[in-house]
Amino acid sequence: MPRDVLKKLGYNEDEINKIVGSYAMRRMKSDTIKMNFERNFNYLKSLGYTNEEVIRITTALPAIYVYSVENMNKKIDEFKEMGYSQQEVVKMIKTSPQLFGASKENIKKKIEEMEGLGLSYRDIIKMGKKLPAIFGYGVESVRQKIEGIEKLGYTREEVIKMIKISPSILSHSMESIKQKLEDIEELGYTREEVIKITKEKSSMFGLSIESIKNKMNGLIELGFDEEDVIEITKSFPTMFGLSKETIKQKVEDVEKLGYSREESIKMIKVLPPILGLSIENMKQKVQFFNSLGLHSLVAEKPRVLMQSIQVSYARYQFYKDKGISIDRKNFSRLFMGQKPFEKQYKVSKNDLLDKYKYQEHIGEIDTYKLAQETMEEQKDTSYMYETEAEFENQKEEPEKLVNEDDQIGDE
Amino acid sequence: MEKILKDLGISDSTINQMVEICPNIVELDESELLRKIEILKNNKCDDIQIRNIISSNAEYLDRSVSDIDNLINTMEELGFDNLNLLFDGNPYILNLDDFEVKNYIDEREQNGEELEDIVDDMSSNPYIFEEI
Repeated sequence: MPRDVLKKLGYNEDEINKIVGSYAMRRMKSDTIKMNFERNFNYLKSLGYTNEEVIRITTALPAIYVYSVENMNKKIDEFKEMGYSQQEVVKMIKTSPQLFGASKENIKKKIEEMEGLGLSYRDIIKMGKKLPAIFGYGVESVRQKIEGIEKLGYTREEVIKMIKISPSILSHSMESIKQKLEDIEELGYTREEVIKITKEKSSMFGLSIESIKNKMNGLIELGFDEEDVIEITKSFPTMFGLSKETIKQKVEDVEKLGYSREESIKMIKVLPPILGLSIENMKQKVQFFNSLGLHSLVAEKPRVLMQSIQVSYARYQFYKDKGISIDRKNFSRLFMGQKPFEKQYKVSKNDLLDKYKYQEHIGEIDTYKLAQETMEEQKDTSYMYETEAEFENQKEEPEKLVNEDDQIGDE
Repeated sequence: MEKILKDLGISDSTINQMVEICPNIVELDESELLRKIEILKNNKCDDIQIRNIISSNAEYLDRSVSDIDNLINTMEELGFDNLNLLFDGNPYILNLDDFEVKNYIDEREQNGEELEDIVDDMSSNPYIFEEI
């Protein structure tokens, strides 16, 4: 009996009923069915699926037991021809077994229709990896979903970008999308802010409101107030992708760089993307400023972390060669706009970077030594004031320079 | 994938945080990851910059190559140079689409600013991209 074969393979009664009672099975002879069960079960296992996965896949699509091995190989090859790897096909079928039953022509047609919505072939293939069920969606319903989301306050381009990054948005009903926006709004954001946040972090549609609240509470527990949390998440919605533990870890990472909890919190308030910067990235930059004796500057003006160290280093060395020592009073020279810098010193950015290569120097100069040198130089304050005065006299665009300086200072 | 990231100098705990922010990167095949690294190299990013960018912005790895190419081409057409420095300063720029940068600049131009000045302002202060 075919039922016995399935039972032996590990199917339960419900699963057996579903398979044996399916339309595809009803047309087959008992002996052929029995043979197919064992052969196709083993074939699927040879693709890398576990017994449980094979049972789940075949229960969702009993017609698999009608296919010949050649047929199944052909199906997989067709997906590979579309641009997927064997591993990706295996995973896609696991998530969406119906794909095994879809014809090549149907999928091709669906892709062509979706291209008409503003998605490229490659986009659709990539979306298929994240949401294999997309090939089962009607193009008209995808179009309606896109238009529906657009009406909520996004531009068409923004919606396309969102669904490319998070195709699972297409699996949510319009009601649940609207509800999610309203729920986020209730946490203290304006509708405009919710649009900006979800546009940047489209995977938020997949987060429960409890999970969003939980992440916000994580920041409050670390010492931020509710207003801070709104501002931080508005500026850096990626934060919603972090767990409470990681958010805590990020703050502790900043502390490990030599800043107090209070300073770390202030830094994140001023520059929320710090929550995303890796410790490797921050450490290198902070060590550089430490070497200049400007450790506390990072705490006060964390935006200095957003200038590539290559530029900061080249400018520092440039000033040093000109006899100008960089300290707390004139650090903003490191962050001057490129245009006024070039106008004032007649040095292009490329020439500067070619002359003072951070990569080369980092191997040669010990940052500790650099710090010692700087501190030694900064002792000579009268010299420093002279160079300050000289610098002031050299300014060709005083107003512009003041503005540039203010940009780093204006936080 | 993990080996390539480690070879870039990214620690285990940072890799875990990257996966948390962008779970899709677990599925990323090596060739795609290498391609994303290649894009950065083609834009003159050195090893440290590549490490900084990827370790701080895992979402970059999940973007489509054509979207990244479009963004870079558009930025170059608008007059941005030394993109390696810009991406190192603000790795999140790489999550933008070309139209977003264009729209932001258009808006500022409509307010009377010159394109050259806007590009210089954004290049000198990469955090401005956060306004987009």
